[in-house]
Amino acid sequence: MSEAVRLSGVTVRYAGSTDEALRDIDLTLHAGEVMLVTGRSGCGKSTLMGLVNGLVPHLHTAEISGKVEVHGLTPADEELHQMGRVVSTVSQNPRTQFFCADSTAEMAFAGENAGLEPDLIRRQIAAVTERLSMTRLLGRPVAQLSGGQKQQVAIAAAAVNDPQLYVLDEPTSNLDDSGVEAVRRLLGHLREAGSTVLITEHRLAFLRRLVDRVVVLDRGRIAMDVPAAEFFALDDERRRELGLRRLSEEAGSASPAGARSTAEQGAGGLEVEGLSYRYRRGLPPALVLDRLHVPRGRVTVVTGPNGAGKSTMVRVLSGLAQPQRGTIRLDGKPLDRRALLACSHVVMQDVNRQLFSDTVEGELVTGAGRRQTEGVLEGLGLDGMGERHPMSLSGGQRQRLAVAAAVAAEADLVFFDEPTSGLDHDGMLAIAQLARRLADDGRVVVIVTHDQELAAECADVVVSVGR
Amino acid sequence: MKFTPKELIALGIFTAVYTVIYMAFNMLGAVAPILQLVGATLATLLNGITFMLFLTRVRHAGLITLMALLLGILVTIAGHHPISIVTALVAGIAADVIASRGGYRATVPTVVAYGVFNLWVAGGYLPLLFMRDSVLSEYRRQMGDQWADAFNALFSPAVIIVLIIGTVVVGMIGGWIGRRALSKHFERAGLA
Amino acid sequence: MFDVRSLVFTVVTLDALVLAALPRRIDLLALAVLMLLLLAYRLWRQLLALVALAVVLLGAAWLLRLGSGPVVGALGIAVLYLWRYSLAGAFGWFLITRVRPTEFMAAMTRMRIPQFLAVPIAVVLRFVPTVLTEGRAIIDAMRMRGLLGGPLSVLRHPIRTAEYLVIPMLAGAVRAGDELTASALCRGFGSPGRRTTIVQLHFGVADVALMLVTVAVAAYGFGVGLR
Repeated sequence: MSEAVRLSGVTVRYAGSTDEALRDIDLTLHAGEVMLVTGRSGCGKSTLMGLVNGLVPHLHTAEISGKVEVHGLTPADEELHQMGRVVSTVSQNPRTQFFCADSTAEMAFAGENAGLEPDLIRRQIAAVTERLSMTRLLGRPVAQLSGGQKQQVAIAAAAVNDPQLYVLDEPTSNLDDSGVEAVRRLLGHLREAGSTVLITEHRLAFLRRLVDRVVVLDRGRIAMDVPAAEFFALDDERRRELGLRRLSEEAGSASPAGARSTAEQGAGGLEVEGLSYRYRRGLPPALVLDRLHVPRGRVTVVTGPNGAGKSTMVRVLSGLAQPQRGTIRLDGKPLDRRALLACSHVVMQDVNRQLFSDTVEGELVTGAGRRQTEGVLEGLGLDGMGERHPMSLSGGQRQRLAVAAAVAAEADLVFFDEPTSGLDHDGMLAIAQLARRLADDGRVVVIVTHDQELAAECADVVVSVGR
Repeated sequence: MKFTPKELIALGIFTAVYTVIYMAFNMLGAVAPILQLVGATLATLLNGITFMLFLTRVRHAGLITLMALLLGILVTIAGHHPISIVTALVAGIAADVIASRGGYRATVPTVVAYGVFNLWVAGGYLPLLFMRDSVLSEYRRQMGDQWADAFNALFSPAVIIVLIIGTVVVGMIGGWIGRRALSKHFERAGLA
Repeated sequence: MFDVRSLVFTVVTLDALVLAALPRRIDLLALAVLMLLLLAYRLWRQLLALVALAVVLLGAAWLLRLGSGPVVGALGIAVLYLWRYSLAGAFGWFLITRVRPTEFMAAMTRMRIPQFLAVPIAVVLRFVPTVLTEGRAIIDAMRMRGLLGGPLSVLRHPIRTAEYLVIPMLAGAVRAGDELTASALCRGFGSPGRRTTIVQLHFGVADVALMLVTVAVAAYGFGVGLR
């Protein structure tokens, strides 16, 4: 079997960094193989992908020692667009990787840029969408597609390019169950067609029957390089040691953990009655809640497919949006939108949108309202970082800072919107612990998520929002 | 002039942000005409941050000129006089030259450069300075003497020159705000 | 219905005519052309807004004409300026809302517009909606933190408040921009060599007619001016 990718003694160090992102990597990927690369956050997975498609060093300056060969080419020596003819990359964020506003245009993009004959491109698109059973998704405005559908279009676009190698960088990061299923299906097609695929993921269970080999990285080194069967047979303890998410899908949806029962009433909290919200006049309601009780001191997880109204629920319950009908009461007292806003805090999916100060400490006191900053930073593992700029913190630290702001503002209601997208096992546990602590403080804690492992870890109450 | 695809894409991204800030703040004027000047001033001041952040990615001549040209084209399509393209080009070239004196990094040249850069919008009123007589006689013919005289008084050369100087001065303040944002935020965040 | 290229030609030409100091009838002609275009595309809301705008501003100008004195004169000038720029803006708004970015990119490819212009323009078209989405999310976050506590507090510290919006917006734009850059470059965007497009643009009879109308209006404008 010929070699698609070969790394020999590769070490990578990014410009301006003292640590090595990858150390002494020896790796071979054969043509027709599907390989999964996984590991904790920061283990070097993305760097490995970048070496193969050329983004490292072309877009991310780095020192590379050792030899990188992709289908006989050295990515560092080729232009990115030349590597792009050989390697198709799909990344994790459906929104930012799309260039075109139309799905068909997106599939044609690479071919158009390469100056191929329009008829040839059209034939390729027809053939690929036929083979992948995706013809329904042709000619659709991208804005109307769900995350899962967008990723399908991205994978189809990759296939239209007719590459020698597919590089998929956490393609299911932001997707709900149906999105993951769609990606699984497409991967199956690619595998059947004998494509060579390199995929990184945190979510591992869905790949059980799709990959041939699994490589686990740990702090830049290869910790494991085994056939898939061996990897997926790892026991739970070993897998947690490696910091990995679960390896098999558990039957049924998330069940509330712990001894706290959902039947416990009278613990105060949020009461919603007869609520209805629509975006604009003339549209049907985006959210209808006849009765909802979200108790204090408990972690409430809101699940449901993307697009069902989970995020809308957060916006309405936190006072960011005004419902047309209904009452919302906190501990028995009806609150108007303004009052809700004053006592709520949302930790957004993209935390960077809610960091406003130039110092970590300053972040706690930015804005109106009460402040209780004593010991807040320490309590969240951010002590000693008071003078640093929020944007210089790691992703996990920024999330904790957003929570710190909520704690400092003495928010009664704390909402999390998809907090574990793209987080590894430890990151997911950290969020669960955080939610638990906030609940123990007596707050109303709501987590909107499609991460079943997270729900299993910390949910006391599960609310399902669906179409 | 050789631009790499990476530079051109970065230019597009910063121009997009510049455009949004420009349009958003200038539209404050649509709410109440008296806010028009406030909106325009805020747009100029805040885009100083956009400009300065963009400059951290500029290593050679031509990109500032190109940004100005792009803005001139975009704004013409959106409803300005096509002469904006010419004034934008001139303002862009001037700003490019001034900024290059400091290697696109030094404080004073870049601040002055942004001040001059803002003249890209001057397409609206620069003709009033250079083609004054023909414009005036046309107004006299159309509207009558009364209106033409009022126009003359309202948009006397002195007023136009004040507008131009004002644009540059406000621009320089915006440039200073931009530098401050760089040192306070972006440099410490590793984005500059 | 109409090809992008003829629409852009019409809009830019008529804008230039309207904004130049040409006889008033030009702006009425241009107004008529725009109304016909809006009608053709069934953009009723825009048409209604345009008519309302015309009635209010032209009506005001006409009323002011009846008065006398320098103040009235100055107001009259202001109204006319506002009218001209609003009409030009209405053309621009029509173009921006009607033309799809994909069509525009295809038109640029067909017209062989050089890379140094085509690439940034395509990116601007692609990225502006992203910036707007970021902006809205940041404003939500600002409201939540009490940084937008009503018009009074905003008026007292306009620059600081605006910085709260602009700085995260720029940071977000840079991040999203980096991802977009990677995705675009890996797929050969901006690479040397001729680009093709699968979008089929039809430049037909309607487009020729539209361009002729535009040229006629322009000729009329210059012709009258020279008399």
